[in-house]
Amino acid sequence: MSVISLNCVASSSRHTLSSSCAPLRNYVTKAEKLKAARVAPKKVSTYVDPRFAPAPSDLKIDAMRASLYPDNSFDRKSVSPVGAHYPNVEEKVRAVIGSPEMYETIDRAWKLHRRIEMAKRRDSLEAQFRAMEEACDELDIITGGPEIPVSDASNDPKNYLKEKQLTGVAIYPRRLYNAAMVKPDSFAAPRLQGKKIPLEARWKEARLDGLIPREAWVPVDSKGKGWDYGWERPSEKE
Amino acid sequence: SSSIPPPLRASLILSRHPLIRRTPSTLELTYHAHSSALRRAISNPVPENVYFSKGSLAHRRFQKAEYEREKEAFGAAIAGTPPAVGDIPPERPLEILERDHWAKLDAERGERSLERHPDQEIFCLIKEKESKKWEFPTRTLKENDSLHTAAEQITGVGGILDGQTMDTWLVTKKPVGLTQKDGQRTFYLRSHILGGEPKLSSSGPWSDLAWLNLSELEERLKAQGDEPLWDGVKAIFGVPKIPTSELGFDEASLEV
Repeated sequence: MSVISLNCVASSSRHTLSSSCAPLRNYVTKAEKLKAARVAPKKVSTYVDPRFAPAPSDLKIDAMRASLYPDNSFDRKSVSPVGAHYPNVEEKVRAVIGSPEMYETIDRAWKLHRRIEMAKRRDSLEAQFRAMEEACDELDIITGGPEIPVSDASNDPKNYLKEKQLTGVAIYPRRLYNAAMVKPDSFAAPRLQGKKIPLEARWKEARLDGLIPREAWVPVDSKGKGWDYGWERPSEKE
Repeated sequence: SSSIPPPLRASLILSRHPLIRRTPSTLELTYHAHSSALRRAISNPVPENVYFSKGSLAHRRFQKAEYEREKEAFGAAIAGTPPAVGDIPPERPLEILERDHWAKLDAERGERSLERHPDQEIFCLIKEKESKKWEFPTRTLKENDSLHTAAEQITGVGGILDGQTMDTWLVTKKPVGLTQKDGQRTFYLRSHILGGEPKLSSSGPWSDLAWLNLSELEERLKAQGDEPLWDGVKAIFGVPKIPTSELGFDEASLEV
């Protein structure tokens, strides 16, 4: 067995050791073994580009399985979906980023831009809300002032805090405030019954109070038609 | 001291929503391209043998398109040689219109056009014949009127803007803003136009109508001497009293 191994070692190290230095003994020292191992040629990479890998079978499921669970899943150049890259990933990243300073500058510029944009949006929303609040508060005050709940003299828990009292002086009727502050109930209106419902009534019924109508659409990048100037109010045509 | 209070007025801020998404700035477009290229660089290779049959038309189209995308992201050197796909029959061409295509077609209507500024919200102003001043459509409240019924008399059938040819939606009955002048209060309500267009009657006190974006609206009100009106109303459009600082935060709030 040792003779066979000697021959193997000798043959593998043939190209590294010159014939003039060939040992005359029939054994290999430990140092020579280590040296042979160190200067042994690197194994050729068995990485196969997945785009051109021949599928072992025609079944798509096998191709998917080979793609998701490759044999060399822990290899850096593996095609595993978790952490796999193209072989020239570093070159590509360098082409996009350039230097670390360049990348940091771009990142900071974007974050600054976003901070300013979000601050503007926040201030804009705050201004709109404050305007709404002031208008509603003013309407409240001029129609009798803020309401405060008053507890009933009796100890009936059902009446507790149900009575309301106006605290201000009304310049305009209170119904203006009540009409403005009514909470819309989308499904309060009863469904129209009957066989022949006029078109206008049906159209009005579809406009649910408090909900955005379906004719108000989200802005899109491309609209295949212009504004509908020829819109006609639904009515029964004679 | 028992004087009759002046009647309230209801003004309508009638607007058309933006029709197309807002135009991104050069910084945004450049950053998106950079970010997409970086994502492409660190992403997984596409397993083409899973998604395509080798040599099929779809596969060749994909390879050609993918080469173009790689070239755009990393340059010709890294993209390498173009794939040998041979002749590919062209796909059905997409008709790509310009962003202001409809606005250009409707240019003859001028300021009455509802295609103006398609990526922004535009607001309705009407011009009085006598004073020749531009104002929001307003109605004084009569007895038994509430704010939203007055607004409906502006946009409803037979109203100031003739609702017969116009489809509008009142956002809410609550007022969104308030201005006061000599003891008279004007409450503002918001409404959106969904279809058709408003028509002013020739016998009425208004001569003209315009759909203006925010900057045009500010300019027009200031040009006719209505700067206090603009200051009172600008919060409804989201223009804060103190403009946002350049850095996006209040420097004084930082602890030194």
